[in-house]
Amino acid sequence: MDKELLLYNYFSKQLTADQQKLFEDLLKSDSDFKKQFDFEKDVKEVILNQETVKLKNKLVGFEKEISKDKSVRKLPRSIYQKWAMAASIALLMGLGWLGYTNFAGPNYNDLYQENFQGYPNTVYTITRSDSDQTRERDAFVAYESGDFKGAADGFKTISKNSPTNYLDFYLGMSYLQLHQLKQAKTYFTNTINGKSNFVDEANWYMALIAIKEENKATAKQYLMQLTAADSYNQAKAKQLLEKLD
Amino acid sequence: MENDQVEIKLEDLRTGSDTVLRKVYEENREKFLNYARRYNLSEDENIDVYQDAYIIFYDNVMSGKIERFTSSVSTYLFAIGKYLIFDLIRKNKKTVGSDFDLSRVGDDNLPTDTIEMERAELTTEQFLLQKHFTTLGTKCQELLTLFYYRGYNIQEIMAHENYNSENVVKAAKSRCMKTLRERIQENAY
Repeated sequence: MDKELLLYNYFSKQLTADQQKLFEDLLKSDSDFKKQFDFEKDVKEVILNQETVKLKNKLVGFEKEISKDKSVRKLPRSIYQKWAMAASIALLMGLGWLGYTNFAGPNYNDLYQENFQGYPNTVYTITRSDSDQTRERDAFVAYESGDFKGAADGFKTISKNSPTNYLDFYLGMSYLQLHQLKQAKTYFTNTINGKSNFVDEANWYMALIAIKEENKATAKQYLMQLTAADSYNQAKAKQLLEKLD
Repeated sequence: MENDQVEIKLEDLRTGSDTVLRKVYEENREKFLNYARRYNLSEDENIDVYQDAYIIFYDNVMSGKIERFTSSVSTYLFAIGKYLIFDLIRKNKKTVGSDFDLSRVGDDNLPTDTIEMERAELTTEQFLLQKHFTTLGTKCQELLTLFYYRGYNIQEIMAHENYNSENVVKAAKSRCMKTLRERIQENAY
């Protein structure tokens, strides 16, 4: 067989089993073939390295743009005054509304919608090479694909006999996604009381549930748990506390 | 919910489109940083770890180590990121809070059998090869990058680069490799 074609098939991942065998034999017996292979492999490595550097630069660029977007968006001075006037008028008009909302209290539904985000599967990596069709794997596959009923059923089956400390949390998340708040609360409470690594996250979602249930005092109680430095969603918790006050 | 992320396909990433790269970067950034903040690293370190995890993930897609997605992109990024955080903490001998369990970052089912977490640095020869590679014409660099990096076959390169026939692509590829080899030999003495 044409050696060049063999190398082409190798690098484009099209070697058949027979060709693979021939390829390996040639690497051992034909020094020119081995030399050509090493050269192409080096070219591949060099290009990979070059593209990695380009990607890193791109990511640094993305990050700069994100930081720029987040920094205070100062309006040019010339148009600032116009906006200031418009804002004054809006402020006067808004005072009436403000008075109304102050009496009416926060809009719990909006607060919930603004702050709720599903929690990704951060504990179980479903790899291609997984040959074991474990129940845990199936449950996380269901969770990732948005089948929260299947996920909840799966997690519940394995949680009884499993020492892993994250199942209660993911059970809580699955029920929350299904809007079954009572069950969600049970499992988040288990998470908080147990030796789980997801205590902060469970406090956060318990606060959101309390907000959904328009229970300000309970929401604040859970949010207070997250105001310590390095807590999960610390900044968001503080913001929410301000909005609830 | 609220799971408003559009599924990213492997093929989308392979094209290397800036729009896709940025979308994936932004969609996972906050979640990852929120998660990473508990490990007492600085915000710059957190961002570095996120970017490194992203690069490792992408390298593995491009090198074919990840042939198809069996988890969401988020899960891959978190798994790699956690490994990197653990590594960084170990290297820096960072102090972590007393309520922090180090085993948490190490107890994943990391797909170490499929994902290459670290790559060897270029050898001296490879470094020289890289220097000569950058002296090739743009067309040559593009063609070789499509084949060796993006995994395009001859037919796909023909369509992508508007070549007239497969033979023209093959001939162009051979010519580029020959030029590269000659440049190395010219400078070997």
